[in-house]
Amino acid sequence: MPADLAGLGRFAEPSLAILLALSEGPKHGYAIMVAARALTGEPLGPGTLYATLARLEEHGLIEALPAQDRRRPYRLTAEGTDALRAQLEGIEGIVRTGLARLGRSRGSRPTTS
Amino acid sequence: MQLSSDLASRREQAARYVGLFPRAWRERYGDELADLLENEPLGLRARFDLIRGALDARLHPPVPSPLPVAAALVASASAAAHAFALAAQPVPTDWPGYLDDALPLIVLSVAALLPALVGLWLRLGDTDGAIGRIGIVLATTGHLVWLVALLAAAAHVAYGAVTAAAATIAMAGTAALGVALVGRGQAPLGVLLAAAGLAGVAPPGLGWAAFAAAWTGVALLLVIDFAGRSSSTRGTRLAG
Repeated sequence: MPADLAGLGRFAEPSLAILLALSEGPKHGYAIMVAARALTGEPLGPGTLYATLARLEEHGLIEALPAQDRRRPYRLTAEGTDALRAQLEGIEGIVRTGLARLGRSRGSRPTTS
Repeated sequence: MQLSSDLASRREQAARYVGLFPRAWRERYGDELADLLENEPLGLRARFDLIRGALDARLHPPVPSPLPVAAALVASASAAAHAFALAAQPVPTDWPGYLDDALPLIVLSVAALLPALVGLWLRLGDTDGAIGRIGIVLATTGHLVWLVALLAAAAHVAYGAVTAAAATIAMAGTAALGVALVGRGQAPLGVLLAAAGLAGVAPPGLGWAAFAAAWTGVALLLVIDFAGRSSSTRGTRLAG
């Protein structure tokens, strides 16, 4: 199981958007697409959405709930929640380090060493 | 009237795009994708994304394809039969009758190796890496040229340097794919594949025996893996 989404290659970024969208609660494909777009500001195409959903389901990070008409909601699994938390903590560490460095070097150009 | 005509047009368009995906994929995701497409205006970018998604679904089917497994079995059996024939009646490779005796089995083996290698490359998933990509390009190019050169030899056009060069490139690609598989945590399969690549450039007698043994190992591992993945996929689908 990839606790690290980097193992999903080019699907790592849409995976993060989908896991984030599902962290609010179960959603079906269209609602995930709308939520992911609102979160990232980037459109998530229907082909990428379902290719990513299939991978996340295969890795046990999300699971499908019973279909409602033709719509099937998905929800995070415990592994998916752990993977999302690990990913966000990784990003948080990068952001904290980056901001600290920028803060230290405010007003002076960073050195190249 | 206009509304129902628009709806019918959207449904038709959605069905057309869903139809691009493989049957097993449509059975699992077809209805929900169709519903989404009927409710979302499709721009050029979304259409391109759907075509790319359909291609991806064909390369990464939810139910694993038996083709690479069957191809590996055919390739290893043909190589083993050729290795056995060489051991049972050793002849120099420049003996006039060598090609007539050997070519049918070698051609069958090389032709079957192509889908087997593509199937092995697909096991690297979304992070095939530089070694995996170089490996599959060398392996497919080498095997294709090798196959054409062998067919040319069967037609008594030519046999020699091109065949040897193509086989060497094919083996380098095979070994690189093996290394990439080891790097992705598929060590037994990767080691056997790398061994097959190295065996393929060894002298013919011992080389073919080692090549056949390594590919037989690869084929058996693929059979075991296929049986396991198919039963787990069936289980998941029944549960769903």
